[in-house]
Amino acid sequence: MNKNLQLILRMLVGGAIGFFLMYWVLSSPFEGIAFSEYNVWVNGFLLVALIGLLLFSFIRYRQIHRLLNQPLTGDAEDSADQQMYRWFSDGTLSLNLVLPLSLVLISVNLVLDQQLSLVVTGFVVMGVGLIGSIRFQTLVQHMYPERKLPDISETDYAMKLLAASDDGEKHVMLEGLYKTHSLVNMMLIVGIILLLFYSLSTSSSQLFSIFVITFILMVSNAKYYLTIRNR
Amino acid sequence: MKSKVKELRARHGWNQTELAKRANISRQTVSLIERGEFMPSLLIATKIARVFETTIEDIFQFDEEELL
Repeated sequence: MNKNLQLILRMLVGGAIGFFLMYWVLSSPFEGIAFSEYNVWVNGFLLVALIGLLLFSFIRYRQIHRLLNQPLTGDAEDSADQQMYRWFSDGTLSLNLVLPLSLVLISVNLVLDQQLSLVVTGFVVMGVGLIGSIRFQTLVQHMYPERKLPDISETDYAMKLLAASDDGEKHVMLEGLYKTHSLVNMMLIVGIILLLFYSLSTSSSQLFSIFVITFILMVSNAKYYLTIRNR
Repeated sequence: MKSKVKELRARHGWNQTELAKRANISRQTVSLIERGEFMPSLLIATKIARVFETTIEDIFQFDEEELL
C-alpha cells in the first residue's frame, strides 16, 4: 500500500479512537483520583521502590569495587571493563530515579497532609541518593585511573567530563541524548493531553501543570535548537 | 567502512584495553570501531594509526560507494 495512504489511514484510525475516547471520558461521571484514599498504597509503593533502588545501586557499587580489585588480563580484562561500564550505568540510573521519586514521596505527604515522618524519610532518602551519586562519580576515577578526568568538586564538572570524553563516547552519548530528547518531547505532549482530559472530566483544574509542562517544553526545545543553530 | 583494527590488535597480542591505553582513547571507542558502529574522527584514526606504526588508509578502508 502507498505510504501516504497508510499514513492517512493511521491518522483517521487514531483520530476516531481519540474522538470516542474523549466522548466517553466527557460523558461518564468521573470524580478524579482521590489520592488520600490510596495513601497507604502510594506511600508503600514509593518506599519499596526507593529502598529497592538504593539497595540496587549499593550492590552495583560493591560489584564494581570487587571487579576493580581483580587482576585481569587479555579478553577477560575487556569483558570486565564492559561489565563495569554496564554496572556503573545501572547504578547511576537507579540513583537518578531516587531524586524524583523521593520528591514525589515528600510532595504526596506534604500536599495530602499525611505523615510528617514520611516527609522526613523522603528528605533522608534524597540525601542518601545524592551522596550515592557523588560516590558513583568518584568511582569513575578508580575505574579509569590513567585518564585525566575532572574531580566532582570542580566547577562545571559535567562540561569538563564531556570534554574529557573521546569521540566514541560522545557518539554514544549523542545517540542516547537525541533519543531521550525526542521521547521527552513526545511524553510531555501526551502528559499535557492527559492533564487536559483530567481537567475536563473532573472538577479539578490542571491548568497550572499544563502551563508548567508547556514552559518546560518551550525552554528545552529552544535550548536544543538555539545550541545547534548557533554552531 | 572496513577497519583492520581488530586484526592488527590481534597481531600485536593486545586486548582492547591495551590498545585504548596506548592510543589514549577509551576501550568503548575501540569496541565501537571494531564492531563497525562508529566511524572514527581524524584525530582518533591518527592516534590508532600511530600506535600501529602505519597509515590511516592502511587501517580504514571505504567502499567506493561511500566515497561518491
